[in-house]
Amino acid sequence: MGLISLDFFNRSTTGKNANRRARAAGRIPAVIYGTHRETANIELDQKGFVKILKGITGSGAIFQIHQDGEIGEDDPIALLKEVQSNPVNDEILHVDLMEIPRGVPVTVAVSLVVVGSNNAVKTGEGSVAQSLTEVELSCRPSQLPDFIEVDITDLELNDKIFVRDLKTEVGEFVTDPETLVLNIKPPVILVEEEPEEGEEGVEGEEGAEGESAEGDSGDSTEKSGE
Amino acid sequence: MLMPKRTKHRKTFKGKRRGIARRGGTIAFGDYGLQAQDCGWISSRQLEATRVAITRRMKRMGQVWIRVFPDKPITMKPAETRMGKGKGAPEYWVAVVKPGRILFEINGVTPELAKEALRLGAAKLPFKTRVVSRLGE
Repeated sequence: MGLISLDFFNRSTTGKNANRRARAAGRIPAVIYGTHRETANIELDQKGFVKILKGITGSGAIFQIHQDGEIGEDDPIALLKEVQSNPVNDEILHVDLMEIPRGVPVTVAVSLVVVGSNNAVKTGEGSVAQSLTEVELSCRPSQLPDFIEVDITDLELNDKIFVRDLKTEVGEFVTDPETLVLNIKPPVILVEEEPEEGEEGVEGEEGAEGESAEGDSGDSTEKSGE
Repeated sequence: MLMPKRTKHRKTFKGKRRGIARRGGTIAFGDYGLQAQDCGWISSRQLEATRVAITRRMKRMGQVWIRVFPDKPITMKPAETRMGKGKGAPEYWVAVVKPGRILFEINGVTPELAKEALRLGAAKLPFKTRVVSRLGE
């Protein structure tokens, strides 16, 4: 991946209204901070940044940032820390950049890409169940790879790949080596349950007032029956 | 159908659905997801119908995750009842959904089949949705 060139401009205005006006004018409000610099409000060109973001495979990227678009040799490098976006229309609302000193290893999330054709998958005996999509890698900013390949060619049914099995030419993995990346497992067959008669009759009866609360509400994730 | 095993209160207020989803807006388990573009209530029947439509199109392969749970009881008064005399009896359960919320996630099928299955499932829901992918395709 290496360093990506990014222009930024100083921003003097802050607040909801000013940021809305900036977005309407094609600029993204952003902030840059770091251990060796003062936190500064900046703004980025929306079209350019969206184009850059589409070319990034993982969630991590390292930029060489140029103030007001003027390219200099000693321009600082910054890590993309966070991108806030509207979940409905994907509009980018705000960007966080962290300036990092040159020559010092940084920890960045790099995406994992599954490569190779597996016999078990090809014949339908198994399917790839990927548990980890990104892995944290510590390396020098200029050596940051675009992605890390996970080869599944030689795997058999029920074989597993852990972080310790991954290979990288630069840096070292920060993620726990015992973390599961993927496994080849028999395909899950979803069984449709027949609705039971009279199931709805108990709805109102079950929730008696005064009973202790149970953690049913909120972000409940259900896996469909196997 | 999905419903809570036990609740603290039998009946709840109607509530408001202002704003966008602050949680549950990113794909966490599968490769493809169905994201709400509007706010609304999804009843447990609609959730079940969506799940059945998705799993049938996937020919019972792959995996399906349901990311919402109908934990809100909805009451109704009986037909031809005069007003007053208290709130009606709980009739069904709904999940409150705000724009941006991921409703379903699927994995283990081809991208084309995943999109088709989610499109068929979306037809069972009472508001606009879109198919999103983890890779941002």
